[in-house]
Amino acid sequence: MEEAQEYAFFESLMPLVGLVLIIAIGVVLLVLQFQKTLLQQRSERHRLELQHREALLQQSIAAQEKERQRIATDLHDELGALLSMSLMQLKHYHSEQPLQVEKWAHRFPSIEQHLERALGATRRIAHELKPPYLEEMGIAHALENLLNHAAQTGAITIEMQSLHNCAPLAAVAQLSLYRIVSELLNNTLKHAEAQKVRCYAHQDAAWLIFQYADDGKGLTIAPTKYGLGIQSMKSRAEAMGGTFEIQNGLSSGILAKIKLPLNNP
Amino acid sequence: MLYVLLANLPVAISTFLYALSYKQIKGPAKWLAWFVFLTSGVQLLSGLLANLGTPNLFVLHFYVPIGGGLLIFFYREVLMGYIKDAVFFGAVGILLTGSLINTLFWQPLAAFNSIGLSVECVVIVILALGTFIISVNHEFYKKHQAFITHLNWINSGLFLYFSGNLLLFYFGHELLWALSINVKTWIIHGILSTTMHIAFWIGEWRRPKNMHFSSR
Repeated sequence: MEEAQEYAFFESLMPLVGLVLIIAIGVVLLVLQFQKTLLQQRSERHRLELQHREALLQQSIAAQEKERQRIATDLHDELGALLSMSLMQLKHYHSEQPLQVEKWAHRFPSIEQHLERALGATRRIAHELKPPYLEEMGIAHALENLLNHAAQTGAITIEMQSLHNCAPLAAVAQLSLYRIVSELLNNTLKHAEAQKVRCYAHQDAAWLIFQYADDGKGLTIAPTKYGLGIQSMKSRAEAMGGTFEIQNGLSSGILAKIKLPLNNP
Repeated sequence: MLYVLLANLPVAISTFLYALSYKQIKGPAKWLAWFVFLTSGVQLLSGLLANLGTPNLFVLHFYVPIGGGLLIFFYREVLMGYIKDAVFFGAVGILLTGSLINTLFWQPLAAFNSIGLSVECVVIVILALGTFIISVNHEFYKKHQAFITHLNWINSGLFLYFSGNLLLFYFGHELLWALSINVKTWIIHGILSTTMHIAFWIGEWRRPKNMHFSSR
């Protein structure tokens, strides 16, 4: 009799086990849902932060470019014009009244040389600040011009392939690409002791892949210790929604890969 | 007499408290106030019907889905932004459908709807336990720091009442095997109800008066 009662009591506990199980599953699902939402909220916050940082970077680059253009225009239009006028006047004065300035005559060629150099330097600085040909003739010509200039120094030979593939880039991305290649070339000339530079551009779906390689010393520092130059190139590419990667080449030198979104309609 | 006192006095005090502060209440406490008012109305109606000698068990068939729904919306407001709305609407759906099916096919209006009550208890216990776990999360705590004590008291009251009720209604028969089962069951229910309402009073007392609970 007692055994039967115990059995009946045990049987009556079975639904309790079921209910406790239902409650436990319910609580676990609720907490899982909470954790999932938290993760989503965190990743959304992270995405917004990145978006904000990217927007700030773009604004900063745009402001930098605007300022560069302003300085270039001021240099070219104001200082350049003044120097040109001074040089013309000096030449005119020299040719018109050679006798009256006899005692200064031996100095004219030197003054003229200084003025011509100052004018040349002004033009060069203005061109560097505002890439020549980029607006008028497009990125492919501007890059060719930049690379040819480097080749003319005789210190290096340049191999270029399919640069016309860069043409569909948006204007702001073209400028970024120009600046990145310019910085890479500058590093090669200054530090790499390279003999040869190779540039190759191709399109891959909605992306432009630009590869830059030299046969110099390569990178001698760890990626965590990259300097401002490499950081700036990376930031420029990322601000355009692209990427910038740099590593040592297989045998020598560096291999940089710039990936930028194409300006598709 | 003890049962009548246990059953009615705490509800009356809660009703008075929430009626006093109703205009200042916003957010989840508003749903709780409605739950208290509903409980108060149901107690009053049941008492009147009992005095008139009319069966009053049918009132529970309406009280369970409506009261449970109000409490689910209380939790929805507390956990808004952390738990999808679909979860709460799903819980309301389960409660309403369960109660309707129970009334139509298993326990008619004249019977005590223990199944409906159990479903309500299970849903509220899940939400209360979930809220306890969620409320110790750093992000939730940081956001609702000022309201944590208020929420904990109310949540504790609801958890004790509904978990106790679950045991009482489902297993009362086995646990209270001695004489006067029915009376003992209702006395324990009264104690649980009093405990819940005391938690409500303290929760209302600890509610930040110059702030509103913001779930966004």
